[in-house]
Amino acid sequence: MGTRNGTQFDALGPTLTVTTEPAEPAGGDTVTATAVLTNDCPFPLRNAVLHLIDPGATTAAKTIPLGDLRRGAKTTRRWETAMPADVAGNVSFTAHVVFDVDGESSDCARSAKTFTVPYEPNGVRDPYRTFATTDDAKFGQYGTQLVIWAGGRDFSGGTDEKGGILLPGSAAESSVVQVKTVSLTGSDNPTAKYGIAVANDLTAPEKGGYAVLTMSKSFGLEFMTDSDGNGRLDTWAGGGGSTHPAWLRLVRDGTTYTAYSSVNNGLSWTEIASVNVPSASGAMDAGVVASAVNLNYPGTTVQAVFDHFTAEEA
Amino acid sequence: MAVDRRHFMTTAAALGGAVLLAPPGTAQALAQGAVSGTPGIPDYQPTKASLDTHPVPRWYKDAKFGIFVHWGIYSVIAGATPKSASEWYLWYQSTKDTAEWKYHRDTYGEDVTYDDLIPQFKAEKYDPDAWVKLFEQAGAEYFALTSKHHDGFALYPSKVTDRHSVAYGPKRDLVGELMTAARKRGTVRPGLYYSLGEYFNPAIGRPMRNFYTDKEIPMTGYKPVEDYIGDYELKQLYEIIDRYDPELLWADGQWFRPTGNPPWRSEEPMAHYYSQAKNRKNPKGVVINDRFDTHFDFATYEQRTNPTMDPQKWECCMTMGYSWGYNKHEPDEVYKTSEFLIQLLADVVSKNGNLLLNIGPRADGTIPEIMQERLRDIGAWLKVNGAAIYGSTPWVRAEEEGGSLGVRYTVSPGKFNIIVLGAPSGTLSVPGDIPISATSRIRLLGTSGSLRWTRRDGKIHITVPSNLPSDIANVFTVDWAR
Repeated sequence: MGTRNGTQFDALGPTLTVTTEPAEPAGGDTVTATAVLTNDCPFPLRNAVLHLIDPGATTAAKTIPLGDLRRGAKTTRRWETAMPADVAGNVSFTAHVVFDVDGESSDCARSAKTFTVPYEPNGVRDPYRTFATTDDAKFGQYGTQLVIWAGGRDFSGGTDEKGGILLPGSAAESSVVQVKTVSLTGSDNPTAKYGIAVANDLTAPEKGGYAVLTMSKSFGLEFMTDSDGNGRLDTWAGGGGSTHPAWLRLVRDGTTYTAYSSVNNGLSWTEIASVNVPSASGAMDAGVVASAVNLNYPGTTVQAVFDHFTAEEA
Repeated sequence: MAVDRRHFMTTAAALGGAVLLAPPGTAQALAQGAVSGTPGIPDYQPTKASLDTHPVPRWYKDAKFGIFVHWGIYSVIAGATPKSASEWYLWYQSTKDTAEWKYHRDTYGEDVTYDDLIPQFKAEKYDPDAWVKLFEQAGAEYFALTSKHHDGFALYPSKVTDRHSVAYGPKRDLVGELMTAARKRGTVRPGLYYSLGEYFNPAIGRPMRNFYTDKEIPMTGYKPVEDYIGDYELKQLYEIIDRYDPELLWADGQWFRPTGNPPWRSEEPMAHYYSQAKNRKNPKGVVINDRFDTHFDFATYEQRTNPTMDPQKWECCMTMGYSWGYNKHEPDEVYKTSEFLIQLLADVVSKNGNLLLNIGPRADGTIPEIMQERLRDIGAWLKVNGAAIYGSTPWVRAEEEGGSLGVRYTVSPGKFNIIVLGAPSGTLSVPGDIPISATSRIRLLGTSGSLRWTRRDGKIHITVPSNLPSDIANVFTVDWAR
């Protein structure tokens, strides 16, 4: 055998696979998932622990200590679960095994059986509310994800047509509103947009405090505010390239709004602009919005998917 | 008892000259079976299917942190504007009215070519031992030096061209000196970057020109060849493999193809590289990136991170400022902070990546102070918290998304590591599914003793000491007897 400096612990394996029965499950189906772990490494796997993870979950449904797995050992574990109804997009049955190689190194293997489940409008649950200034808006909620389907000719100071989901009174005097913009699909229009909105009353922007921070399909960020409290967006900052997914963050300090974005999962935040919105008052509505901006793309709608929306007191 | 990671190569270094700096042909001799090879592993064949049987070496999986070094003629010019990639200067200069085209005209004059600046690349203060010591201080486990970038100027004596640092400029084998220094110290694994294509090269179908008169001009050191790939590029790859025996080969520039867009045929040197690494008395693991246009060991994420945990090993390569090569116009303020870089490292590692952080030395061989500072800051953090980084692996999930303080997870032998990006105060609460039992102890790396913790409302609540070892990132380790 080699030494620590050699190749003793270099290996392609172990091999981990996941299959399901039925092979193509639908929402609500009872599914038996099977994980098969084969140690085809030229060394034993020490202190192995197998995690089995349901679709849409981030925590393991089962955690199974396997102890040491000698060379050539094979273990099969099954878990049964109902295909959750509130999961859509790319959903996976996942197996993840961690093990020690020796006293210095740990390693893992991961495998998933992945399905694409289409998002369907299924409404939102309390405490969320919906609102729209287009006729064709629909809404969905899947776990921590919020989904908006919307048309809308434009979404700016002149024409403000959008669909939205809000949390009433959630943006306190000092607060941070944040969301992950996951995807914007359904239209090739580069100006289609989705993001955060806040206002004293998002169903009536003319009551003041109105601002939106959006990521466009292809033309980057837009941070628009209503400087005079008439319900029309009349300041603009932004530009650059578009990234999906991206994080958007709107920090409220009284009447001062500061917009940020992050393209690295919140590791660092880039300030877009800081703007005074004098009409902001009290605990405001905060939510997510989307518009197809289809003036030049008649009839098109977008599907906007958000995740991890939060409005928290700073 | 764990071997000290900082001295993992001392045994190899003690083996002597063949390991320190192999004379040409040594690797071929090894590959031909002059010494015993790895039992049971057939030689790699120049096919993707055969190369795909090559494992990512353990050392690379464990290393997590490396240093990228971009150095060459472009370090003389050192950029045209604060936001320009200095190593791309020659290419940008070739287009009329670009910032580089104007800068060159205004700074050097239309008659002075890029190659005319080669004599100013002197490397007179180049101290490879000091470089390696700095890499050690950074806590880096490997490095990759540009043996030849897109401008075609090799930092080692190539036989297929005189366009190199021994014939021109520094008159030194810059690659060899650093490889030797690294192997002498035995602390940081040496790797080499190599650009397959070049901006300009008569053999590639784009001869060098004066970009103001558009007249074709000689390319310094060029030796005519018929076939850019077969007579030049592949031979250079064999040169750096056989002469320097690098632990890592990092390809780039594959998009600058010769006329006719022929395949790179990278499978040939790759099979040789893998086979000669195993066919020796003490086989070693070697690793390559994904820009050879064929098989690869790890995926490259340039200037970005992988947003999710990826079972395919990957590497984030990133600049400290904007440019890869030294850019004298970049103010210190635009450099990424140590806070960002350390948190980036934790993020990358939690998702099965390595971080290859770039530095751009000056033309004289000195490393800008701000780059040294950043590296030492990372090293100081790793000295305390490296147990959660080196040799670790991703857990079920890499992070907690959306919180005010970022949390990243790693697993190491006997430990579950909670890396908090920032300085928590009061109570740290994490989801209750982390691996912890009633008797588990939680420690904060860099401090002594165990911390109080409770399970309540489905969460684990950890009492955070008032004095934290770091403002940037703190590691809470949970004993995990699996």
